[in-house]
Amino acid sequence: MTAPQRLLLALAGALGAALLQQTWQLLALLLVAGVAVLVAAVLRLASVRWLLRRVALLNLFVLLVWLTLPWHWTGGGLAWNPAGVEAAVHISLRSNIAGLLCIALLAGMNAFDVAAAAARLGMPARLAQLLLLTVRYLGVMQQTRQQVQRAMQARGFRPRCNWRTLEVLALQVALILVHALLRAERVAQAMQARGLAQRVRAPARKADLVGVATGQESL
Amino acid sequence: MHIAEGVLSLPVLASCAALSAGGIALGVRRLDEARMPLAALLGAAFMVASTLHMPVGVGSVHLILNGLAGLLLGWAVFPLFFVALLLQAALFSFGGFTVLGANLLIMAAPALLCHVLLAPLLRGEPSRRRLLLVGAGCGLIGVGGAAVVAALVLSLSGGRLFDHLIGMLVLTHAPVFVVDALISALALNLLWRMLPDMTRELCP
Repeated sequence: MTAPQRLLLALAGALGAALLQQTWQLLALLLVAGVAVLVAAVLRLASVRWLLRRVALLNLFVLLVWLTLPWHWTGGGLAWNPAGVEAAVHISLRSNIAGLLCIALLAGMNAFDVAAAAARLGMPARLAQLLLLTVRYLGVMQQTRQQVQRAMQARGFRPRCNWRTLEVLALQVALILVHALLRAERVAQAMQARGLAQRVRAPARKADLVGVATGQESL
Repeated sequence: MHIAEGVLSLPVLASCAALSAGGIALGVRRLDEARMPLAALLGAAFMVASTLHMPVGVGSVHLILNGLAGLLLGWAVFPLFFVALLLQAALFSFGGFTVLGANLLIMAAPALLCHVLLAPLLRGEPSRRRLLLVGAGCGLIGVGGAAVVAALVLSLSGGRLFDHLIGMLVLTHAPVFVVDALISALALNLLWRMLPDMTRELCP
């Protein structure tokens, strides 16, 4: 199956789970989803540990639902609520059908594959362009984050629940944004140099750029 | 604050999807070709920044920063958060495909509110105090507004059935509310000091 087909099937599964009303129908679809995950595990599309972690993560919200829905307050205290139990069962089934199908069908795909597949499924051209660009820069920004974090760890920073940690985290956020803005400046200049963009913002003052560059190095 | 698949009722899912689609269309139309890389870079930067964790008690809270993103990006938050939520649903099973519209509304509507309400306060030469207040406002409106919209779509779907669930969601997000406001305040102040011209241009 090609990547767009896999994504389309995952979408259809989620839609099916939302539309089906009978418990037995949902159970049957859950069976299909469970088999799909098993097939993904057998075909080694992803490691079993990764699949299990994803399934556990998926059920965190379901756990929250089971902690809250089956109870209601009466005059005397907590009481069992049958309507809540039924709703919780349906939510668990729907959540797991959509989640398991998504995990099985998209196993082994990365952000680029997902974005390319979504773009090919008839997304408006400009939105698809934005999606692909964002994924392309996601890696760049992750690297920036790692750089900044390593620099801070090298200076003995350990996150704790105190004011200093807040300040350092805010600095990390600001630095990541500064990197993004400076990179955007360079991209805009490169586009202008190639005659691609008609309207480009005026470059920032030289002094600011120099100040930031030295600021990063001293960090 | 992601709602999982299967929780919301069909009419709520459909109307959230329609509203979000409108928001995305408007956001994309306002992004001209030259600003596309800037928006994508800032979108990616906010996605990465929101994975930072602050230890609180025995656990830790991750940042959301939707308010700060809204302040700087305006209508572009709709397409950019859509991209982020699509990837999160596909790659991490946070949220899902059918609740994408609802989750987008939860994140982007308060973000847009931050832009409308707070960006005008930054005209001219804002003082340090004003920057800190606007930043804190972004955190409060962004996370608080997200809680309000989430509570709204949940109660529209299930009525009183979801009362405890809403309570739990609000309770578990109380630390995020505080941390996000403080970090947004400090980060906006730092960003403004490091790149005053470029930041000013972002929120006219």
